[in-house]
Amino acid sequence: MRTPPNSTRDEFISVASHELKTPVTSMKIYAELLKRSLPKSSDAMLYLNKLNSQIDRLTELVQELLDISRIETNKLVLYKDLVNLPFVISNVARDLEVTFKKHRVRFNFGDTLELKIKVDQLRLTQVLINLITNAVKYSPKSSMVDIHLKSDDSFVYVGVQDFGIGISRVYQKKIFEPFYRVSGENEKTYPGLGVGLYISQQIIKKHGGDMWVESKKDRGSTFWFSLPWKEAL
Amino acid sequence: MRKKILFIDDDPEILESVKIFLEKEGFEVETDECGDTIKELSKREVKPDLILMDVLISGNDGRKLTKKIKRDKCLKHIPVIMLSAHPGVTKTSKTWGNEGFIAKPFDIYRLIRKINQLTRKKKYMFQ
Repeated sequence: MRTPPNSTRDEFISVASHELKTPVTSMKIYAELLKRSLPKSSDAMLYLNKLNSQIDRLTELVQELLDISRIETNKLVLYKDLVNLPFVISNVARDLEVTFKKHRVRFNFGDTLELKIKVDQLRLTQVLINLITNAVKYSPKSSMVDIHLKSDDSFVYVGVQDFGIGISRVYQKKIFEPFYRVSGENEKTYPGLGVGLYISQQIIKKHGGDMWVESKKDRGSTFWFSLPWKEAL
Repeated sequence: MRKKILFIDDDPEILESVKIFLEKEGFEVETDECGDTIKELSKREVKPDLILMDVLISGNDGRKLTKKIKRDKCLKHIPVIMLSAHPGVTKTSKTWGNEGFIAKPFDIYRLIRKINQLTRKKKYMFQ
């Protein structure tokens, strides 16, 4: 059973991350002002772009802290709307694809062009971004990510498959634990809090579904999540 | 003519950065750290074309100020965009009479698009 949340700590995380958002906004604006006054091909512009991406990373970390705080205090609230799932998935993937150096996304939706379900679209997008960027991050030698969509009588299933380093069986449950970072020998780690999958799984569980991974070491991984049909109209 | 924006937020840094950026974009920006401007706004001859309002202002409440604006017959036509970094405000933000809501940290270009959209709409309504 989960330890009862420490309310002082959770309150602190919530207030601190809230307070961090305002300076981050100002930093972004000043970086944008600077961008306007620099020649496009200068070294300074290169450094500025790096600065900008670090600000984005900071924004992401703040957001993750806030989400953790919401989950731990049971304050993660969903705002559901009826959405067309294949449309949402392909939009998110296409938007991300332009930021990838070589990876391309293939859709394995079968004949499913329309599948309406009631979900929190912003939260679902957050989950998809997490899974798709992980798939790219952990498959540096590959150039493909496949997204699967299928359903049965009770659930809709979405799978994000990469052809990368895979995950040993021993880690397959641990990766969904908050702040867990793979630290074994020969395991490449990436910067971050190690909470992305935990947050994604909690978002899906809050929808009444679940998230899990099917993977073999060096053969790639497929992260699946399910969403219940009962939410569909 | 330059569009006039009134920006109310208790954080002087965000007031300054947004003001600089919007002025470079051709807007005229007045800033207010506590929301007191609202008290005398209806008496002014020249009113802002749009108000940017932080939700939680030190010593004041952006939601109450917005409701006050929308109850005032001299001010209610002015579009209000509310801004907040506070989690959970996004969905409830539609209930205070404001025309827009943007969560912090925001993309400045998104804010400008929203300002343009709302000030154009107003102009169209009164033409």
